[in-house]
Amino acid sequence: MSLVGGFIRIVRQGFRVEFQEKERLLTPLFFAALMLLLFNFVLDEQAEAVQVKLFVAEIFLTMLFALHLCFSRIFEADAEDRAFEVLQTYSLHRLAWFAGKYCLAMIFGLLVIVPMILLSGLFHGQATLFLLYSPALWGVVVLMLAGLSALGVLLAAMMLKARGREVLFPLLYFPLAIPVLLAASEAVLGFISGSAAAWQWLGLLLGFDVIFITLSAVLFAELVGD
Amino acid sequence: MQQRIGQGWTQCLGLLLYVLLLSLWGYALIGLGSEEHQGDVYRIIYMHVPAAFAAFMCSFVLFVASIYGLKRNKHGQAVLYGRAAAEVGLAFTLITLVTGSIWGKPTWGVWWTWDGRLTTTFILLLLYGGYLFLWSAVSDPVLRTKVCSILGLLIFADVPIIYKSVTWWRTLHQPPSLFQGGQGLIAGEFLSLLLGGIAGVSLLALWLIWQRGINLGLQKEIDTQLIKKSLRY
Amino acid sequence: MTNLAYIIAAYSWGIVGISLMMYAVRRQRLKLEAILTHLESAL
Repeated sequence: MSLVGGFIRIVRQGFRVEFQEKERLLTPLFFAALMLLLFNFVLDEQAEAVQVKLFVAEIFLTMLFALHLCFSRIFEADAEDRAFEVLQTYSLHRLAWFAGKYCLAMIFGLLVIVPMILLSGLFHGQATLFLLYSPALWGVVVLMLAGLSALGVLLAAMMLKARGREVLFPLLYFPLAIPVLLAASEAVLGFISGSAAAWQWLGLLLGFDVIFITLSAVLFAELVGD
Repeated sequence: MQQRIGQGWTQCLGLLLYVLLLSLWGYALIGLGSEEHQGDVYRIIYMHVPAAFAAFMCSFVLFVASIYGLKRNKHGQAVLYGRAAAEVGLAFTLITLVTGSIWGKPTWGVWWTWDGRLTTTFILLLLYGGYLFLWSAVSDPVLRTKVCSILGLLIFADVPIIYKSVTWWRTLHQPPSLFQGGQGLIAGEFLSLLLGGIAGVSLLALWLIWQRGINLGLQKEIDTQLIKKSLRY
Repeated sequence: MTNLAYIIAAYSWGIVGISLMMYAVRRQRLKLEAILTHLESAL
């Protein structure tokens, strides 16, 4: 099977599984909404000067938590009926397999993040509305998702046969994702305030993405190989 | 048994390193004069910095063991040394954090601060813990070797990025601290003693990893022997 | 707490921690070797 052919099959299969059970897509979305609600209770600061910072902090933290739900279940369907083991014996290119899952993670991540950011903008009102039109915000969000998806797919594959993976996955995913969280929030705040440091943070985010996408692809091939 | 050959000299080596370190610390406590800015409390540097160095060095050992485990030694000893490195690294990380906290109180007036290095060390503690939890969560030995080796590589790749990001973050949000991590103590004798401490603790950490790795190998052999014994009956 | 107390606390923590590690490794080695010797002689 060719690289592109394998990639298309994995993506198609992933879509079929995700849209078969609507709750698989809706659960992270509801979870994100719940997180926004809880944050707004705790961080109930009305001063306009703080609203932007709160908005940025909320969306990136919520993103991190909601995405972990998406990623931890990305191989769940493959674990049933030993489909994962069967796929390992197919002449499926390992890179195609990773790329397919990575693409799925990005797409479902976006389906959760976009409504979540719009909802958060609504909660914060006028003070943060301009941010929803900011290319800097959406650019950084996509870059953050790119890095987290690579890490998430690899960790999910690693923990497929691990006991207590519901606890183990966040235990490993959150510390490894800290640079992404810091870089994304500081980059957006930097771009808003016009600080030169924003480019430094963007550079770190790009660096993380490049390193982790490459590393994850290589290590995924090692993991699923013989 | 190959691991047991020469056990005497390996134990003596460990003891020698331990005694040398105790002498070094004794001299640091009694033999050196006070420091200009921090008075006597600066002496904690000879415990804290070497422990921190050892904690991060263990992540390098974990990296090497992981590479070897993934590529050359899927059923063998390499991944056991990786686990040993994570355990020893966890212990030294804990020593680093506690001594850093104790040093922070008289120096900065607080038990904890989100200083770049302390924060990175805390994250490393969580990663070492996660590695050990993953180890016990996977029962199949071949799969365990693979996943733990991969995690070892991820940890080593991410730690410098974590350090860079956290240090930049602190630079933006907090004025530079008084303590410059030894940069104020660069005069001859202080520096030699500090380097000696770093070398001594690092060698001791390597020795501990080695010995613990051998122990894990012995445990594995015992399990194999017990299986053979039970199959006989 | 005086500065001396901080110094003693820090050094105690470090020395005790390292000593415990060395003791644990040694004790485990003796135990494992005893078990292995017993198993080898039994088989």
